[in-house]
Amino acid sequence: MIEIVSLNKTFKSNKEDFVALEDINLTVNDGEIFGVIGLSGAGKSTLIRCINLLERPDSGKVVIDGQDLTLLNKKELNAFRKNLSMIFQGFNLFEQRTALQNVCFPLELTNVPKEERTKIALELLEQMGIQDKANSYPSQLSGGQKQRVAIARALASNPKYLLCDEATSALDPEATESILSIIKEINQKQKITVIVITHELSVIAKICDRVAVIHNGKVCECNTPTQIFKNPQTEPTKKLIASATFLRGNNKCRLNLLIFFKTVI
Amino acid sequence: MSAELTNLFQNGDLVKAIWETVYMTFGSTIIAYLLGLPLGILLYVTDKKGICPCSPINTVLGFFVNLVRSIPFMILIVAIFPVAKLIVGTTVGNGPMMVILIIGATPYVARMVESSVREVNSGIIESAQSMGASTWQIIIKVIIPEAKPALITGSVISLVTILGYTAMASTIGGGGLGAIAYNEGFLRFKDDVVWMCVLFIVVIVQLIQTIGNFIAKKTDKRIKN
Repeated sequence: MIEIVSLNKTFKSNKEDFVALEDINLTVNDGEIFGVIGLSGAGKSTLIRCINLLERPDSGKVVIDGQDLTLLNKKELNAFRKNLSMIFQGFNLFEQRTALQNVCFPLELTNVPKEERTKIALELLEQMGIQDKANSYPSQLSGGQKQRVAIARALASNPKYLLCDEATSALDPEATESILSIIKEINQKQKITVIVITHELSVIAKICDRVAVIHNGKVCECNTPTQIFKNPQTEPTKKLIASATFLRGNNKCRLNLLIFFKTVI
Repeated sequence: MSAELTNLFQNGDLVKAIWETVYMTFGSTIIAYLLGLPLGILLYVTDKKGICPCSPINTVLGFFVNLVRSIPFMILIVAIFPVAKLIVGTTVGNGPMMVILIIGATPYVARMVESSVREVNSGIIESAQSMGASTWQIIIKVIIPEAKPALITGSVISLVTILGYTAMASTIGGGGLGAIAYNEGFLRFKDDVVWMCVLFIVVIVQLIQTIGNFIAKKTDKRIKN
């Protein structure tokens, strides 16, 4: 379980301070796919980066399985991060390594013997359906294939949590579909808890169990996708949904949108 | 062809000078890299936006690197002659020249390395951090391998620059093509000797550049095949 308790983050610059996150309180239950949606600059990326402390919050706690990460020293944090994998919008694969060597990387960090890590990596690539690309370099792969390699690499350390930072935003609709179904599948089969950051409502509708809407650094609503679509409570949520429907629609219209998104997958 | 040039060919002085230029250039570049590579990486990681920010180390190192870099090499040679004498025990010959070359080249190499590793996409480093890699693991397993093509290209540029340094240094003390061009050519008004030395230096530079580019291209996996 991930608990975020009164978390604050401000980016300081010479001109003026920018409050990225203000008093965030969220709980992500084990086994669910938790979505965070918001417009650009709302603070959602900062939020996910605070969960594995790529960004250190100014105050507040990030408690994962009872352990407050902000209290860990560098070494303990590095050990803990193996439990907490992350995939990115820009894939961030090692460009001078093959797909196979990329997936081996987290295992190299923990000194898994070479034969064993190759075996694990090949299995993961097979699970992602790209075992034939094992010896290709990232520059030879398409966006969807790159993200599959990134997911395989994220799963190599056998994590309990997967953080997805706009993982499908750089992909075409078809690749988005396939990556989303992979995420759904690993959530269901391997019981990995997933946190998805996105600005696309369709992503929320398709795979999320619960969703938090974030606006100007604050969580303004947290509910199931159905409730969010059917019965948005706050102004930012209403706007977000209206922008996707192109009309200031009624409840029925929004519900249809949800059904539409869900059936596409 | 003047008699002096013919003579230089026949008694083997020219071949010896080429050899001296090559080994002084490569020798000092290799040692400058042994020192400059860690130095450049240290400059990069201790930067305030680096993976292990440490302002005091960065400022002190940066100051010394800039100090040596700001002195024209010709003046540096004369200025650090006493240091070279202290290390090698003499001020004549190739030994002290190598010491001077290394002192002059190391800061240059350090900046070259720093700018090469700076090119590594910060997102890649971040993804390694998110996997729990330590600073040392990131340097060894991510930054150096990912920057390899840029490091090779940089080392070719360094080699050519240090070849220029070698020619300059040899006019003052050591051997090599610079010494022949200056002592046997310029001072004795034998233009053909000077031009022959220039020709050989140009050939060496072209060879270094061509081979270096080839290796850099071979090692870079980013280019689509």
